[in-house]
Amino acid sequence: MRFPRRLAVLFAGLWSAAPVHAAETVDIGVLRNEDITVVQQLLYPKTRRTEFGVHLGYVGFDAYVKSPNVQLSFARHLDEQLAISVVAGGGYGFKTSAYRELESPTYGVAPYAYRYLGSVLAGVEYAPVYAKLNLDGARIVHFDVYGALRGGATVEQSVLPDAELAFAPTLSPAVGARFYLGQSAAMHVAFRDDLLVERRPLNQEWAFKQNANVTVGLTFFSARPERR
Amino acid sequence: MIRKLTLAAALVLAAPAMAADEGGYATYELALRAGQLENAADALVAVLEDPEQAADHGKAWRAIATLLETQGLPYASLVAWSHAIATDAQSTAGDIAKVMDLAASLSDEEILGPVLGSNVGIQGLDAPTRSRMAYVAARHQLRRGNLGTALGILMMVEEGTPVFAHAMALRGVVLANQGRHADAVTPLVTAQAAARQAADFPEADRFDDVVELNIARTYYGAGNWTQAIEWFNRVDRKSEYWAQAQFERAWAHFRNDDMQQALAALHTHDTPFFDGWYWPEADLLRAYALFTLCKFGSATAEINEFVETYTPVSEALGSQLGALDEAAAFADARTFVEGGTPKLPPMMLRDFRHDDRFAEAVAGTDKAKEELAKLAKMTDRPFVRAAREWVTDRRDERVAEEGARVLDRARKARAELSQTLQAAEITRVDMLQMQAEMYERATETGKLDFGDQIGKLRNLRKARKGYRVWPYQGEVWADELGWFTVDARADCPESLAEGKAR
Repeated sequence: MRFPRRLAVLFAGLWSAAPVHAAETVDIGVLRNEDITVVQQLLYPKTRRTEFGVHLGYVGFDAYVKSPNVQLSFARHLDEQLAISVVAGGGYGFKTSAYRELESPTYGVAPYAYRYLGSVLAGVEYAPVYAKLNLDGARIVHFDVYGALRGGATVEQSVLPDAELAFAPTLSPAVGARFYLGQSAAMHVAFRDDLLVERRPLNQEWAFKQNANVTVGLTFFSARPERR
Repeated sequence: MIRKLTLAAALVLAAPAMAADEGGYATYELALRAGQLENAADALVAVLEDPEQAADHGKAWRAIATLLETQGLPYASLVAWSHAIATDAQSTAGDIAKVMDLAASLSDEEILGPVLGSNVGIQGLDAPTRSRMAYVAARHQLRRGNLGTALGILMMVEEGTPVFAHAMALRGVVLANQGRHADAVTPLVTAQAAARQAADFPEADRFDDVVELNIARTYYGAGNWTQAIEWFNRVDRKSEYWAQAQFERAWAHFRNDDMQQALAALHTHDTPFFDGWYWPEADLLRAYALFTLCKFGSATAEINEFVETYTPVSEALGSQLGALDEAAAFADARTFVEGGTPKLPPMMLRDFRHDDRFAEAVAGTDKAKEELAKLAKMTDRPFVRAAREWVTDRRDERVAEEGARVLDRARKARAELSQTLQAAEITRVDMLQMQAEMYERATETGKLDFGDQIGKLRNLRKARKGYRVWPYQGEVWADELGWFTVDARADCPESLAEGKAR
């Protein structure tokens, strides 16, 4: 059977519409998922708690120097999102194989690089994201994601034999995640980018440097404050 | 010389026989003096079996209780002590504390309940012993349903004694059972405070949870739904009573005409974490709450699920109940508690895993079994036969009591399920009619208004400081149990809203 063209177009529309309507469930007389909300008491409150921690870090994105380091952190949480934070740490930068190769008789070049020795930074942390992971249905890991902006000073040392020191004002943006291990402990994974401006005596120039530090640490919270 | 030795031996051998000839309690004393403990015990059994020597029975029970303990037969000794107290309580005053310790060590304080209850007026007891004795007796009376007696006995418990918190909690329970809910709160709160202040309180957290649950139940009984909800929520999430408390909270919301929160509380029990738990009432309550919100589709689904889940349970109960006597029922529950496969539906027996009384009965019967094994190896003589009989009787008595509880619970469940499953069929038909009416109305109005879902979430986030708000997407996470809220629009057809269909 052949349809006139206009009718064929109309029925074609019906055919295409039918499955769409069939697929739409009638949301009446049923309790929908949207009717349910989970309003969960804070399992790991931070407000008015102090967090101390120790972190192992690695400045590994420098072609000439790789610096393992240890950082100690202190944070006072003003509320669930905002905290005042102080991080102090130290380490030692080792020459990379690339640097050694350049130093070797083959090339005979010693790049003017600085190694990380220590830093003290203070600033704020802001944790706008709170989420959780379901590991096996029954084990749930809560975590938050924070950004930090800190400022302070970094001490560096020239890798050349003169071992000149440089004291550099530092701005340090960072992002990290805090995985709660319980009421009083958390594991941190953070990436922090220390932006340094340092005066280098050998060439009498101001140099800009980035120490991109990846840290993993364990922190401990002070006791939960009494309810007011 | 040989003739003299033979004579001496004959005298020694004759001594017990001569003593036995004297008969009665004196025989025991003679044997005891001669250091012949087994003969002494036999003599006491003879006294106890002779009704004509009833005047000596009190001291005979005491004496044999002591002797049996020295023979390494503590359970038989405990039975004898219970008879000694029953026969002549005042003479045992100095032993009461020791006997209660013995009973506790054998997980059978219950044996002392009746005898201590009948002899609460014993003189010469110190405050801790009298209080403990009163607590054991009152608990026994409560289990027997003698509420007035239990309450009266509890008056003897003194503040500051180790059992004070337990006694106050028991007092609250008794008062609540008497329907005196307003009076019950004070002793329960006192019990909680006393336990929290105690320097060393065994199972303090568990006790705290039980008391909180009982306070909630008391408020519920008094019709104070708000307070009941508050106290049900206080039961710790880690507690074995938490799920039960949440279920009862749902009832409180329901009675408070808050169907949304009743559904929210019951949503926890509908999650896979509670598959295999016996909660027919939760399913029905959920169905009823859904029904009152005219969620006929969900209510029908709930009833279908109820029928599907509980029909086999009801059938299994029907087939097993006739085949089990008390001893078999006790053994069946025990098999389940110990991780085996029972004949009764496992969901029926789940509560026995946390039932102190059942656990005590299991431990006590095990100790009785150990002692019976020991008695079986001993030389057959009157006191051994008597001890065997006493321990066997006591073991069988406990097995029968606990088995009867198991059967009673199973019978009640069977009756409730049969009735409810029949009613469910009728309800399903009614529901279908109402559902049709509802669809009709929806077709007429042509619009389904669910409100601003995102806005609702945002408002919740602002309003609930100290809480995290997560959307629910049908996936259940363990840490979210108990934190559900429901905000559902009622889909009631006009006729229902106006009461036409009722």
